[in-house]
Amino acid sequence: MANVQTRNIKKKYGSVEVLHGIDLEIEDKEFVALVGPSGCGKSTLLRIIAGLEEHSGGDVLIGGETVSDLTPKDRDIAMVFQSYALYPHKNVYENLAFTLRMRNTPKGEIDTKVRAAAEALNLTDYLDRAPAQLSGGQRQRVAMGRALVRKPKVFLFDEPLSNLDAKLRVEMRTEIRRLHQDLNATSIYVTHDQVEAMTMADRIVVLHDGDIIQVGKPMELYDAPATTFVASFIGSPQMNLFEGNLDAAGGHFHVSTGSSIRLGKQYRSEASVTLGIRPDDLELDASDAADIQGKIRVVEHTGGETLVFVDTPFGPLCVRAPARSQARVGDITGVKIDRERLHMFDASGLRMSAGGA
Amino acid sequence: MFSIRRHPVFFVVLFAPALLLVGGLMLFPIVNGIRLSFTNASPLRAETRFVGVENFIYLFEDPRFWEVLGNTVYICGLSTIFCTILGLVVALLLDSGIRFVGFFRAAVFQVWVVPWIVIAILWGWLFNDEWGIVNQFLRSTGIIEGQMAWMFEPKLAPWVVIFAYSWRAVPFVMVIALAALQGIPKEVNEAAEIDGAGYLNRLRHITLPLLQNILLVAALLEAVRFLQEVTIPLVLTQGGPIGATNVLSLFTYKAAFTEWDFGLASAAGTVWLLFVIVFAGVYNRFLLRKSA
Ligand SMILES: Nc1ncnc2c1ncn2[C@@H]1O[C@H](COP(=O)(O)OP(=O)(O)O)[C@@H](O)[C@H]1O
Ligand SMILES: [Mg+2]
Repeated sequence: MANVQTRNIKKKYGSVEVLHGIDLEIEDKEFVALVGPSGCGKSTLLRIIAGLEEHSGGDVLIGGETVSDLTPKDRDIAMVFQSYALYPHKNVYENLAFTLRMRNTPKGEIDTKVRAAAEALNLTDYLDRAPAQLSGGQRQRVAMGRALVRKPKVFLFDEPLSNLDAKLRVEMRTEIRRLHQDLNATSIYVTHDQVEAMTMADRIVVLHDGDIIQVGKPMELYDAPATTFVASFIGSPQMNLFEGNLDAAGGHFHVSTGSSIRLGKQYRSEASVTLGIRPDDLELDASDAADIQGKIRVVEHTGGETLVFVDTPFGPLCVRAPARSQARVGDITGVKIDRERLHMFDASGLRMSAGGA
Repeated sequence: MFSIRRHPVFFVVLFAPALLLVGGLMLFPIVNGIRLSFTNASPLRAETRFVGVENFIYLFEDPRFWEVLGNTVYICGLSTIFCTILGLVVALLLDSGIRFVGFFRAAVFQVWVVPWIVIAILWGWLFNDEWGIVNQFLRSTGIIEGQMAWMFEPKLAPWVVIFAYSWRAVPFVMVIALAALQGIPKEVNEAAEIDGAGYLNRLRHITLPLLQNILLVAALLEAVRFLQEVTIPLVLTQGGPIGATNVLSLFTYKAAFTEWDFGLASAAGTVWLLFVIVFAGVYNRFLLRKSA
């Protein structure tokens, strides 16, 4: 069993606290993504779990036992660094073999394991090469290989794909997922890229300024973001967010310009709220049934879809339209809203739930 | 673009000052030195005559010269080894995250700024047999009784010079090793830590191999410095006792400026030059790890 728990983990650098009490429960064999903007404390948390960084308070448990007093090598973890951190003077074989050598594995066994790992990562032809003679993608594989030769209980990844080009990154996403399934180990994956988190993880932990904001399955976060931060962070293009207020009955949303829209649901009446609508839940609609009128400012064709940016009385709005949309810049258009999929947040940014009809 | 073939004149004009400088200040003395070594040049002689390899024959037939060569290898070799090891150790200490690193680094580097002559005089006092602090210390700890005649014992005097050389060169090696240490990415050591390597294993398998080249280069530079060094043996021991600290540089210096035999001095200098070239060549060929 290799579940990972952190209990009220705090971290201070000097007088600055960068982690404010992190409580996490990661199941055995689970793939969890820690996601959040740069500087929110993801790496720090991961390094504390690894034992590379001391925490200022709290406890880390692996397999139910506290590891706070153990050095990294005794925690039975492996880590893949963003910079790969390969040993520059050792060839690929020696890079992979190093951890086994350090643990006094017999020579024959080392050889078997190194070759198996190289095989799994398509590195067999490169075993004699120095890291400097490898491409970025190959180095990344060596870094992965070094982590998996030993078959540790927990894998830690710190933005392992951010130095790769877009195409390779997509390939490696699948590859890492596949390895995770083959290895049957617990994986904690740090990334600032919400797409990586959404596509790879069983569960996502959203960090912001040293606090956990929300934990959930990818689609849970997408469908019911707990705060405006999560709402704008998860999903691409970003969710449209408008500030305004609700009428006394809580059924209409008003903005300061005087425009309003019927919500179709009842919220508790609030002076100032934020309304969120994903671009997917909007539709260009020329008919009278449209909810909002606006003028098309920008049209972006991405091939598979078209993003249409419309200026409306509520503010700028992004609509996800079909691939061959006829929308033209400067046109006046109507936009239809899927009222089932509105998100409402109160003044402090927390999600509000709809009351009765 | 601008190739030397297409614009030869332009290039010559551009390089001329630099070439003149290098030629005048470096090449000329070397060539002239080699030329002198085949003459009997001396300020005491009105006429300089070409004497062929006579100077060299004289040198190599003189058992004193072989002794000098032996002293040189012994003193400069050991000094190089000591200063490299000590410099590395100091750098490792400073890199290990102790407090006041900046202060210690500056303090150690002070030694580098001190002129050799000051070190020579300082060392003379430290190892003075009657009032020297070294003897004082050895007496008070009961290791010796009475006096150790550091400068007058052929077995001890070379060690005084070796200590002085090593001490003086530690800061240089330290600064270079520290820069190299700080150039090793933190993650590489962390990866090794996770891979199961403790401090000593990281030192052996990661740090030292990565520092190897830069340390060897620093050692080579220091070795050449020691080979050139005259001040310390001249001031401290005058090459004595009974020639025990007479090194090649001092021998050359004395030949030129005590015996006024420029020809012989130049021959010794030429031997020195060949020695350094061969040494550096062998060193480069066999010791330096070739980068991929
Ligand atoms: N060694 C350090 N000393 C001081 N502050 C640090 C140190 N390492 C990280 N921090 C601070 O801690 C915060 C979190 O950093 P980090 O965990 O690296 O963020 P992330 O990985 O999410 O981008 C940042 O504000 C960063 O400036
Ligand atoms: Mg980071």
